[in-house]
Amino acid sequence: MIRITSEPIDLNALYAHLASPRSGALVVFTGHVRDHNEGQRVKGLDYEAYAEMAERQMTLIRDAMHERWPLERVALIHRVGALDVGDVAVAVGISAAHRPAAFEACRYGIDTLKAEVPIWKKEHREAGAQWLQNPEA
Amino acid sequence: MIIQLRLFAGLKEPLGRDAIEVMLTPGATAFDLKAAVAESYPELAPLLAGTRVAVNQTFVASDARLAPGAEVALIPPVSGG
Repeated sequence: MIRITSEPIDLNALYAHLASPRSGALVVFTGHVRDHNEGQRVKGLDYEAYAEMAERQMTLIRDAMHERWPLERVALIHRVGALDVGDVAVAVGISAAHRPAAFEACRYGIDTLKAEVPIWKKEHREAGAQWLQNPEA
Repeated sequence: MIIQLRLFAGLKEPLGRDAIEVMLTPGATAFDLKAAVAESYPELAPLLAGTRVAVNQTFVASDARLAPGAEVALIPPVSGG
């Protein structure tokens, strides 16, 4: 499952998609909008995507995960638009027979997404707003 | 050749545009493209450090040659997740 959506991420649907009789382990990472950054209060984040390329890069990441680890299902979902503190911005979900692969692949998935997928966040603070860059990028 | 390129995130703001054009000699590279953008659109020049070039939705190296008709985009350092 690869998705860029302007709707709230449906985590129930995500779990239902990942679960399978062959999978003993299911790992989901969700990234949420945090209320602080660099010691200052954050009011919200605007996410923008180069959607066609982002889906393409996310598909490459999913394929790489399946190649490196024995996995059943992989889901990469990113939300775009204006998000409030606490909102889920991204979900990386894995199901696998056993947990070592599930944990490792999930970590790889989110780390690589943050380095390679053309999506950007604009952070709103009291004093103003600025586009951020990931350390991974 | 005229190359149309798409702008994203912070690169859209100085000009208030999500697409620009640059004129390049045939066989120009991604590196040449960024130099041409900086020269033709000086408001964007300070924002180009760390920006990558994507051709047909794939990152390309600095020495990749560009062809007319491809979809070209300037990709500032990303911040998804």
